Amino acid sequence: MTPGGVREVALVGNPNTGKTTIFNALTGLRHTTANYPGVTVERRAGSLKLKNGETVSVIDLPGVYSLLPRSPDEQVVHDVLFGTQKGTPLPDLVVVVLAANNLERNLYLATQVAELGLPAVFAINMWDAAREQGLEIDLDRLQMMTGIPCVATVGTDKKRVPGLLEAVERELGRAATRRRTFDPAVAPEVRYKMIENIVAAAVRHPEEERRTVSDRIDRVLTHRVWGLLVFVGVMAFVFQSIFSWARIPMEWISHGMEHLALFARVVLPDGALESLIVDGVIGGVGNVVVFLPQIMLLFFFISFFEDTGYMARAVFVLDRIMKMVGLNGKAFLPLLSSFACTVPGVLATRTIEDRNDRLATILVAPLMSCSARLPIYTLLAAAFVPPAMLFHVISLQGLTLLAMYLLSIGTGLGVAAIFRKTFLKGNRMPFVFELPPYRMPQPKTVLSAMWDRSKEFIVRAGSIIFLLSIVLWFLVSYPKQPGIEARMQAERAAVRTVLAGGPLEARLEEIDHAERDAKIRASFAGRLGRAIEPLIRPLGFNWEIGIGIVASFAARELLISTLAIVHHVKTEGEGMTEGLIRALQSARSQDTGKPVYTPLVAVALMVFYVFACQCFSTYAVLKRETGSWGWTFFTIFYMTALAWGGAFIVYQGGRLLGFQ
Amino acid sequence: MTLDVLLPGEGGIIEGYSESKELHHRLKELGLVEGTRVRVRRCAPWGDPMELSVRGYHLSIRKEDAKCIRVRRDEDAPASRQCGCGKKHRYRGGL
Repeated sequence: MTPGGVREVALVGNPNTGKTTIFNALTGLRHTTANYPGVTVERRAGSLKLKNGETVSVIDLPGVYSLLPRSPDEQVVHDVLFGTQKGTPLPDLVVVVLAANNLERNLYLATQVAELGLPAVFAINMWDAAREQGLEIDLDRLQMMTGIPCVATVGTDKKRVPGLLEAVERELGRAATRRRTFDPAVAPEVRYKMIENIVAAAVRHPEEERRTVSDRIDRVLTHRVWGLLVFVGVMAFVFQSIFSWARIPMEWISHGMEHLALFARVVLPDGALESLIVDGVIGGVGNVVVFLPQIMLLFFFISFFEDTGYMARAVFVLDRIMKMVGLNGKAFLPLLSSFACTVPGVLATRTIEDRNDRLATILVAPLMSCSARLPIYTLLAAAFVPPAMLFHVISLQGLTLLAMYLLSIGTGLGVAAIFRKTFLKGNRMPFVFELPPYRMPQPKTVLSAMWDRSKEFIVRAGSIIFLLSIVLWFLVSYPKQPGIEARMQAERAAVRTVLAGGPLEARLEEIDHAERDAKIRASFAGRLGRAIEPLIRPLGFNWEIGIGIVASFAARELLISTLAIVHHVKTEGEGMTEGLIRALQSARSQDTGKPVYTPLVAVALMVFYVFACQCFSTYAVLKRETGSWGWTFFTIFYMTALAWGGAFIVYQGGRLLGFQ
Repeated sequence: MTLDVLLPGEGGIIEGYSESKELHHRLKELGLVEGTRVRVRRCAPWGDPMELSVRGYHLSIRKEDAKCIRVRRDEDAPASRQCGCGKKHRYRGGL
């Protein structure tokens, strides 16, 4: 019981038993999600009002197959049910959710839980599906043999859970009478013998295994030809929606953010606070929020595939390919998600049970070319790759983009293979997973899962970005240069006396740009950019690019706005890209008079950005999911090394081959 | 023989594990214990992993793990061919 006197009901069950639908049916959609302290296991809790007026707290434990803890999920379930989990009291009642059409294996966990001696109820869920398959389950016998009250439920249908509600109320009113007899040393063979006896007495199987709809769907979706074709089609659809449909709401958000910034400029008095709010907070958080549509869509698809059962088929079809680089089929989706954004990609690795498999997937996920890199590729390709067509159909610029993506995929998989062969060798778990029967997706379940995950993204990425944006804003805006400001003010005043109208506006704008440029050069970031110049010289980059690289440590897309500032291009509104392209093409070095950017430098810069781990949200999520700063710094280090090496090879190799 | 050589549609009865590894405990917890009837339903497009029908549900298992499970052929199981399990195994029906 919690200190406040609210009694706890815990939901336990195997994966794919519809436990979440039961949870939703009991608690409605009002629930809170958080993590158990110190681990990345999700804690879902809600409340349920009983008929007698008592309100109890319901927690949805992660789906597991056994009480013996081998994975973080299982550890949490074990600890909660033994009362040793910090922050979660020993439950007053355990509801074990079992899939009616899969009683044998479900009873493995259920009998373990029954032996704990806690008051318990068995909810035999998906009762309708079992009836359709011709299974007959004698609930009274099951109750007699297990000693636990059993009720039939259909979690997807709200009208079909009152039996469970009554049982919960009844059992909560009863004092615990059974003793704890659970013995972790009981061999699975022995437990299954016992279960076979229970099932033999309580379940009547149909004479003939009926060919279900699920079988028929499976014949197509796991077929060696059709299965792959469907998979490619589905993924193409997901990608299409993430990269083109999501653009529309993304533009709304970025317009909204611009308006908000303009509004803030008007409302707030000029000065440091205005700059902090507008450039630091709104700009920084805007950089994250703008990805929300992509991420919500991505989570929608993931939840949808999980809820229907397609996810397991995709894993089944792809496992062999992923095995070639030492990963498993479950790594595919996290890596694919990372093409939209690394953060949801890394969060999606939670489904991978094996520690080494999961860690290898997390470590290479940031190598997948996320959508924040795309604007950099497009800008540089548009500026420096001739718009020629190869064989009249393939554009060279498009080909360059494709090459960057292939480079990212190839390196990512190669690095994964190396990690898995060296310090992440071997597995602690066999790679087995259940292929559950297909189900109609439940809109409630899908949307609520999507919402929970998106919320987590916002909170996790948003909070760290918020803090670090302020740090970065500080680096770019300080130390203050009163000298520059005074000089520019004097210049403005002088110009006002000689010019008027259009020419005056134009001249004032020029002065504004010159001021911003001078300020960023004198700022901490500018000094850092200059300081790292000797390091990036061999890559063909000068200190202007250096400032961009420093600034884009927070988020890659900042490279573009920083380049726009140092090259005196208008940074807001329409025409920025065209202006920046012209500025980049005509930029000359002040020392030598040679062009700063050549096609070779542009390609080296693109390659640098393919590999470089420049994103605060990624650092945050790496720390969170690997649980260590060690792995986080390792990832930043190895990716930065790759970026430097890659750009070095491109630039120096290109020069040896005679390119400029 | 071991579980990985069974063809799609064929059934077997588990006799035991050929080597004792801690990671096989999970397979046992999932119901793959001595005396259990299994049937291979299909193999993934490149022959691996394989989908088993065991205790009324479907489980995907990699061939490298299936190799550790000793089985004897279940003569009662209906022997129907579904899709192939990789070229290598295609004609090994008589094994």
